[in-house]
Amino acid sequence: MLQSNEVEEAIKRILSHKGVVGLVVINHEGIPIKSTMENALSVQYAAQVTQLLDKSRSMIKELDSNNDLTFIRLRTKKHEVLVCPEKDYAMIVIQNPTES
Amino acid sequence: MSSNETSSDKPEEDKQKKTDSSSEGAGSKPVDTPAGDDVGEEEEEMSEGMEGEEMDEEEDPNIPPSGLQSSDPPAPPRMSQEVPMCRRRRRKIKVKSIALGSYDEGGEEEDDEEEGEGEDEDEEETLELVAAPEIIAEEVYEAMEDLTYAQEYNEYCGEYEDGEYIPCLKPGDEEEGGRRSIDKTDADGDDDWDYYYAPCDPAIDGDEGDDDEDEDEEDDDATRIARELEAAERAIAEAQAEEEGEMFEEEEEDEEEEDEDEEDEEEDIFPQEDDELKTLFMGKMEQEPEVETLANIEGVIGLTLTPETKQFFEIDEEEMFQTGHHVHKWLSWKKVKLHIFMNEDRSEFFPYYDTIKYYPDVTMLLGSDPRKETGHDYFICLTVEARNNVLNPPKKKKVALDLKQQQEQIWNEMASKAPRKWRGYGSELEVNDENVIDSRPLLSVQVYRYRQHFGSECKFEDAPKDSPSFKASFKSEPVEQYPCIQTVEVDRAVQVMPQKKETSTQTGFCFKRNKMIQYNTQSITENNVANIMGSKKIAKFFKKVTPRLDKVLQQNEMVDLLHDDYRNLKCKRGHEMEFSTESMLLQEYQTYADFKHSKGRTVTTMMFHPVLEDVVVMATAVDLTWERRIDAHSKSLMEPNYVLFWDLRDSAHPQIMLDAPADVFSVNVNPSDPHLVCGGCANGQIAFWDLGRTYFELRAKIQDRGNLSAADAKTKRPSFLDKLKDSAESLACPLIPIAGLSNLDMSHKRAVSSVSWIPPHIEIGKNGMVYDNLIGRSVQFMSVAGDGTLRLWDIRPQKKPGQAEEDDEDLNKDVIKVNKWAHLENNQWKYHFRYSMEDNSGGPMFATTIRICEKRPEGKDPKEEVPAIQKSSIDDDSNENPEALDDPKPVAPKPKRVGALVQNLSALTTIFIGTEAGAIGLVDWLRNKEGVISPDFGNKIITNVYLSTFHHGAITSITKSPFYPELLLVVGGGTISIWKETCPYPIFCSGGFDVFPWCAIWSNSRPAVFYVGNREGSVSIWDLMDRSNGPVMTQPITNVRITGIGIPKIAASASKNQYLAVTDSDGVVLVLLLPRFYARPLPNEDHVVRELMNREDSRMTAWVKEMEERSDKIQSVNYSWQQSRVTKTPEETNREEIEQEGRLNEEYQHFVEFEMSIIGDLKEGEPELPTMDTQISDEFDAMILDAQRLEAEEEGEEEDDDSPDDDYDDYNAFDDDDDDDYDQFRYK
Repeated sequence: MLQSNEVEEAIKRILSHKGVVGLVVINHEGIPIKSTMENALSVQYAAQVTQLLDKSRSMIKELDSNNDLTFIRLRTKKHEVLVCPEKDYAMIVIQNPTES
Repeated sequence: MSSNETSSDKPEEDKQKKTDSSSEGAGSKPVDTPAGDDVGEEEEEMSEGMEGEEMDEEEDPNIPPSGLQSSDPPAPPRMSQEVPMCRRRRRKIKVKSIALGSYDEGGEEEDDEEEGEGEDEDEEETLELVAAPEIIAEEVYEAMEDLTYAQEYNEYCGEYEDGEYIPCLKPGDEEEGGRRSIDKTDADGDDDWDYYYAPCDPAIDGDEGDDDEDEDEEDDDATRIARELEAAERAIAEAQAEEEGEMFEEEEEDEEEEDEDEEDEEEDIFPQEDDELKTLFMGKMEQEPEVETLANIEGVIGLTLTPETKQFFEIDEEEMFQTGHHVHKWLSWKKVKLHIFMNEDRSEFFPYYDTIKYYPDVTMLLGSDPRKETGHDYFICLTVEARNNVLNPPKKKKVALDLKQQQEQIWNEMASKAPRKWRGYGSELEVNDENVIDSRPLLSVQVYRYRQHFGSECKFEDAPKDSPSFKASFKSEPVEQYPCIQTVEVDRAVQVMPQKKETSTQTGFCFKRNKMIQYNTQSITENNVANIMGSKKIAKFFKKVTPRLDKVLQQNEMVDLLHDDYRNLKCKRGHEMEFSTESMLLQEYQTYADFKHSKGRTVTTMMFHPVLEDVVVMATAVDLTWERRIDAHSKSLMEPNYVLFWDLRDSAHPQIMLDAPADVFSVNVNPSDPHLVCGGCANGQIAFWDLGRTYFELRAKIQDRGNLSAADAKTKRPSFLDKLKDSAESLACPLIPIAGLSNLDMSHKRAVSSVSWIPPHIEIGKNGMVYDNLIGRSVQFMSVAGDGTLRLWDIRPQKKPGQAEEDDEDLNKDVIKVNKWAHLENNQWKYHFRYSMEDNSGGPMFATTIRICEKRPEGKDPKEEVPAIQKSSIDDDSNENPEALDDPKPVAPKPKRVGALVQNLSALTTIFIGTEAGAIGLVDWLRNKEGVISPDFGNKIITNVYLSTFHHGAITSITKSPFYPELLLVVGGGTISIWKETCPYPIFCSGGFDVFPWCAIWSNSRPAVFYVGNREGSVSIWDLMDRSNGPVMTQPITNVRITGIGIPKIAASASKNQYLAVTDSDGVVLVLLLPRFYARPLPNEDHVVRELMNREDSRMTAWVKEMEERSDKIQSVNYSWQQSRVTKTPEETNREEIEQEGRLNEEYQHFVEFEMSIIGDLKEGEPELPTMDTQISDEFDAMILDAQRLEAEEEGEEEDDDSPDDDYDDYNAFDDDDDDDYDQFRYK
């Protein structure tokens, strides 16, 4: 399918960035739809990030109801978790920025 | 007053009594009789009070018609205390106060009634009359408190809303206390008593507004309500005055009804006024739309249904009207609509179609209305709210009126109501009981003190024991003993406590069981995933998301936002920050020191074996200055001197020791025959060693080790015996005796500072000619010393004719021949060649270091080159091949040999020499100034290509860059400089440091890096890529001086680690592990360094050129000046001058004449000047014009000639003549 190809290409492009460890696409229920990591890990990420998303989104909404969450960057010791939420899906990218 | 507290339990009794009296009716009378007189009195007094009241009312006209002024609002307590005049009319006041209370109209009306009816009142009514004021008084009191509070609040806050505190006027249950106090005041006629009690019941006193209205005026705001009420009351009273009789009867009837009505009895218990209030409230509420009546509910419509409709909706009429109440039935909304559609305007619902159309629910409620509240048999709810209301009728609708309005309404209504009569229930008897009645006139005691004693000092004195005053004792005796004292009032208090309960429960027991819940992760089936992935939605999502992610990811790639710049910093010695990461520091890797032979001696030379990479050669000397050395000469002679060979793998023991006759200051290993070692001693002698077999053993050992490690150390683990053997071997360090020692007379006159082998591909003849070396081995070496000479040594025996061939064969083939070097022993060894090095001014050069230029034709490796030359020379000498090999001696070169004279290797004849004076010299012994190599110069041709003094101290180190052979790193006098071979100026030079650099070496892995050993024991790392103004890093290594630095090529270690070897003045060779950063060249580094060097070079050359040009110019200028001085002829140069001068003179003459004439004129006309005749002015005008013209001319000339004479003359003229006149003329 055309769209599918586009999606695949987008994923490839993201993965081609330096230090990108993995990518998970989850739906609004927190179920991983597409993942480049092993299943258990992606399920973990999906579950945890969904909670975080809900919480942070509600926080933003509470502060300003006209505002909305568009991106979360979590910097950790080992890597950086980038979460890009949209209405129905969210994309999680794990990047190791110091990797060279 | 304590009644508030004490009476909390009494109201109930009181009420009980009241109910009793009210129910018993006449039965209460006997109770009343004892106090009957009192009551009568009271009534009388009350009526009097009423008269007073009436009088007050009559006085009303005096008061403004608004009536507000005349009203007497309850005054705050303090007010009443201040006003004692109320005492006189206590009774009246009381009544009045009642009248003023919350429901005071009642009181008033009662009064009016009493007034009107007089004796008609029966006992009961009187009682009631009494009772009501009691209650009211109490409430009034409370209201007073509230109002007082309000007033205070008002004072405090500045505003007061009258409605706000009204709700506090709740029906109090403290009638008892209130009444008592009131009655007390009532009962006694005694002023004092009253006065005494007055403060106790402030409400009462405060209410006597009739007498002192002006006071009350103060409280207008706070008591507005009361006044308004009173005004209302008055109006009402007037209006009702006519209907008194009727009202009264009605009241009576009402009361009787109430008495009879059992249900109301409970309410009766409450104070009646309260009751009224309540009923008022209730009435108020009842006036609100109530649910009970269907008609009141909005959206409920009465209907009368036709039988057809009933049938249509299947309504069973009997069922609907079975009970007397509403029976509900659900109708489908659709059906209702259908009904409307079917029957149109005949449908009962048709009129409400518009409402029904928007009915939000699916079912509608139809109900029977047996009581015809809606006027029909049935009703239907047109809205959901109505339906809900019908189904769940709200019990009480909250009064939605705002508080103020509500209160006003209530008050208004209350004002229109006629009060009930007071009925005594016996409480008044109790009141009377508590009255204090004086049985006798009160005693009056007067105690006085003379005024004169006021304020005087008290005199206390000891009283005698027997004095009566002393004996007086005051016993406290029970009051009962004094019958005259009656207990009149006992304050008792009962406090209501919350009930205490103690309960306990026990939960049922149950066994504990471990249970668990297992969750299964939710997932999506493959199909779904495929669907989702194929959906437009996800494509859209990706389209939205990817740019954001890309941006962030790129950001992360480009900048590490959270990079900690200071992570590598640590605090050292207070505030000094240094890089402390392991990767950026030199780490000590290995230390080599022999306690016996090198400890305490300074390492003069350290060099790495040219073939055996793991071997370091170390020469040591006593660490003493020259003078000290001389002092300790005898001692140092006794000490053995050794040159040590270390294996870098074995830091415990030196591998080979070379016996030296004296302190060795420099040592060098033959690059082509690595078993040959030459050295220079402190006494100027040259030593020579042949390691011979030992070398091969060492080499075998190292190679074995390499093989072993290369294969597998584990499988070929050496046995214990082997180990022992090894250790024994290693312990037995072979001592190599000296093989050759130069003749002392032929040696240097000072300590040999440097020795260096001539590269194997050339050899130098006696006359300084350079020839191709046909044997391809280094057999000659140079030595320099502080005596200003350079000597060339040949290890080959000084050949005598006919002897050469065998010797050479020996040298070539039988290296291990015993006593091969006999020709070097016994003081027979003489130098092969000697130069006296002179600087440009002819003085000696005291060389400290030497570096032979090994420049070769470009693009060729020396190792390749050697055989090539050899080959070519062999080719050249093809017919004489063996002879050429056998005849290395260039003393008498054959013609062909001359042909082999190295013409193109021009630089081979040059050496770099660093001197004690800090000069760097590129010394050539063949070239003349023009750079032409002429072989005919012979022994005296040595010349300096350049000699540049840049360093301000002895040159201690000259090293070549492994990457750029033309680059030299020179250390001396505390500065570091980089030179290019071709340039007589340093292309780079460092500034001074706080450390003293002593030795330096280029990194062999990075072109831009070099390491500098400092005298203070630290090592600096320079990285020209990073900065060129100072070292990147300086790290202390030892406590003693660093004397040498080198880079060991530990290739066998196979690791990528880079090492740096440092020797110090304590006989230690330290091998340091270099940071990995310096192990690998940076990208583009080579290019950058080359660029840098070229740039610097061009800069320097440009500068030098400029300097030269300048000096040339100066010289030429000087020269030309001198020339001109000499050659300038008057006829050429002076002619013009003379012409000019003549012209100038002419002009000057003109000018002077002109001026003189003017001055003369002026002098003539001087006396007349002040009058200033027209004649004169005319003359002046002309003169001025002339002068101006002249001036202009002058200026033009001045511009042209710019001759100073003019000015001067001008000045003179000015000076000579009369100043004033001149001024006048000139500047007019």
